[in-house]
Amino acid sequence: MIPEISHLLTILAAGLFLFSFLVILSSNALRSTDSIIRLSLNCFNAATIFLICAFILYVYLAVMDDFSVKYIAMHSNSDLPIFYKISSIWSSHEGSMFLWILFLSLWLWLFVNRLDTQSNLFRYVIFFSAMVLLFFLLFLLVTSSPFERILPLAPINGGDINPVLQDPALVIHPPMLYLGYVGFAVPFVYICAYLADGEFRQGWETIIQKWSLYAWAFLTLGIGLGSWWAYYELGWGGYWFWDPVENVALMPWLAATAFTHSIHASTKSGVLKSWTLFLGLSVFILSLFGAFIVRSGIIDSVHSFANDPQRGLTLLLITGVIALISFGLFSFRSIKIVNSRLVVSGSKESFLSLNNILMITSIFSVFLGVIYPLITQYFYSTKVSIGPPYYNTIFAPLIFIAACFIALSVESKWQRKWKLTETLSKLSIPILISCFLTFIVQSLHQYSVSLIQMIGLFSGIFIISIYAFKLLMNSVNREFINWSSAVSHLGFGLLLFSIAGNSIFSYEKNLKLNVNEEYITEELEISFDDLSLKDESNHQRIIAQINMKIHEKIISFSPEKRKYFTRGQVTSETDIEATFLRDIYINIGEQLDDGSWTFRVQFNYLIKWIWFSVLLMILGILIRSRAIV
Amino acid sequence: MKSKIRYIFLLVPILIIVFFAYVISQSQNEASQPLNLELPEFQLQTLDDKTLSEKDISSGTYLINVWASWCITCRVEHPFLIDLKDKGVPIIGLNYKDNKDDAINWLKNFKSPYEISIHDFYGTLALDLGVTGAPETYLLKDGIIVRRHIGELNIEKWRQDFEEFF
Repeated sequence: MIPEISHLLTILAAGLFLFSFLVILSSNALRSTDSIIRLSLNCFNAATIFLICAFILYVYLAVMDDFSVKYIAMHSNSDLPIFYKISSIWSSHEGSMFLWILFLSLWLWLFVNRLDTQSNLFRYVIFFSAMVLLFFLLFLLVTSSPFERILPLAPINGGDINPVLQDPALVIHPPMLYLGYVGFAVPFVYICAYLADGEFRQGWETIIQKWSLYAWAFLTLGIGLGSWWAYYELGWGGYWFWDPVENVALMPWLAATAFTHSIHASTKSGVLKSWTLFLGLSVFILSLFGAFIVRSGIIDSVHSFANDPQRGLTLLLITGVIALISFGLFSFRSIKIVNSRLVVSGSKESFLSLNNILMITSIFSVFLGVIYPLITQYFYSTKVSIGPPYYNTIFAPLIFIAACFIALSVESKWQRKWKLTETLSKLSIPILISCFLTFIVQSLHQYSVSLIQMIGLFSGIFIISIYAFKLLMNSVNREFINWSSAVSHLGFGLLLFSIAGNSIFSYEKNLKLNVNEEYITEELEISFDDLSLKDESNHQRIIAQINMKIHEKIISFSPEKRKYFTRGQVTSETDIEATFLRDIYINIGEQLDDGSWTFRVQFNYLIKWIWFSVLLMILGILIRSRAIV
Repeated sequence: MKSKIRYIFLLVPILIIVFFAYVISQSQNEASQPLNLELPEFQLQTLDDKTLSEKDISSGTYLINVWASWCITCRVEHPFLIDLKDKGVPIIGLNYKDNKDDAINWLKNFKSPYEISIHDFYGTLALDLGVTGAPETYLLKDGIIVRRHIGELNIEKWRQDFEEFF
């Protein structure tokens, strides 16, 4: 019964969104009155509440192990702890789409109810919000219903959640990421409304700025958590793989970063308005594009859901319609948008506008990397894969230019031409410091650091030293400092520094060892002491006991392999010894024919610093959002 | 903005949509796979302790259905297979990486749609067939595999790819 109630509530929500949408559509002809707008707002609110109730009921079903629901039977299991039962809801396509839509409606609901109902834009905001929600609810109900049941004979137990996903990170990584993706629906609907209204009043940027910053924080946190999860739990041995799904998350992130900068310029000095509008639309469209790529299964990736071309086609259609409506509005209406000022060359605005171009370039490069394998596969019938070399080569120069822009824009002023000599004199110390430090690292490493790594290292140190210098000046003679910009850019500089440092200093050893065998070099000794088998409730564990002697310190590791009975899947559990500077990371591989085992031992530097830098960037954005009323 | 430049904002999304629609339609063609493969050699025990080899089924038309008691989708597919059996379609089960007692109990509980079920505990035959997981269905015609379907077999797939052979 409860599954049907949940299903019914979702259908009713879709109906109410439709109604709310139609009311506005007809009110344009009838000359809108307050009561009509109020009616559609009430429908919108009721629909959201229905959707929330439907989701709560669904969570209840998952917790109570109702295996008559096909989706729950396939992805949950009565042996799971309660938080995995809940998170199993978003462990596959249908349920995660449900969560995605729930978040979408929550963001829009909060936003709509904070807006002034008297404002002219209000009805357009409701119109576009209801439209987007209606599309995705229909998609959920028609092509990917999580409410289907197995009746009359329900299975006694479920098929279990994929072991790879049995991890605390699953509980939090997808929800954060989705909150970020759909959070950009708020600026999206507002910009659509603004363009549709066509009166172009001033001050629209401030209304959506704060929302965009929060969405950016969620998106960044979501991507960071995914990276953290891949490194610590999944045993992939790294934090970023240029996997197609990572790339389609990176594109909205880059667009969102450009958008938050551009909207800052628009609010502060009334320039770059078309840019801001365009970027605001692009972030959400790119998020939808990402959902399409992941859920259609046209690209092989570790994240892909089951391949279903029909679903992919529907999602493509929805994304396409939304993109064409919004970009259509943009291309026909934005001609009338007038910036209140012109951009003075050499001013802060001019560097921010160059930053927009730079970001678009990087988005396009990533996009090309994503679709190029498809082009060769379907037009030339050859399979190619585009990996880290492509992206590293593309991104190194872009990042170098970005670092220069950051440097110049920090030293430049709003609406005024820069003074070349003054700027250069201020930047000379950071430039000298970063050249010097890069050279030190190069010589420490016997001149084997590649150009790309040097660029990364230099850019990172350059950005850090600029802001360190600023902070110093602030504490010495109270010189003005923009804290949010300083903190988030310090985070960005540190991110570049740690990524470059990680790729320069890290190394790995692949060993082949028998039990009781040792591997000895000058600086370390590794001994494989024991191998044991353990049976657990739903899996078998093979645990290796390894001792490592490094710098006169003995560390013991116990990496393991797990074989899950229900799905026959094998996972490896890495053992990591993490210190401030370096992680030692041991992964157990395959058993060879002669009975020995392979091990991968990695020495990863500055990994912790990467997570820390991501948190710094988020902190900077939160400081900024507090300053906006 | 110049009036002609603005069409770029419409043209680019349209081109991207058309491109992906083409890619999807191509990948759809790939999904239904007409094959022409010889049934690999094998000799395996069945669940009722007989021995079966490729020679025993080298003439006639059969469905080979990969299943397991641990597979939830097989439960979903089960009623449809029973329908097929009632229509007189001979189905050979390939019990894949499964505990024998569990498999026998499963068939007892839900009624068996299979003429006979091969017990492929180590997945050797499945490996030779190129099985990706359970459920999966093959169509065998006079010793040649002519169709393959990955995932749940349902009435639409059946009509589209399999029915013509029976």
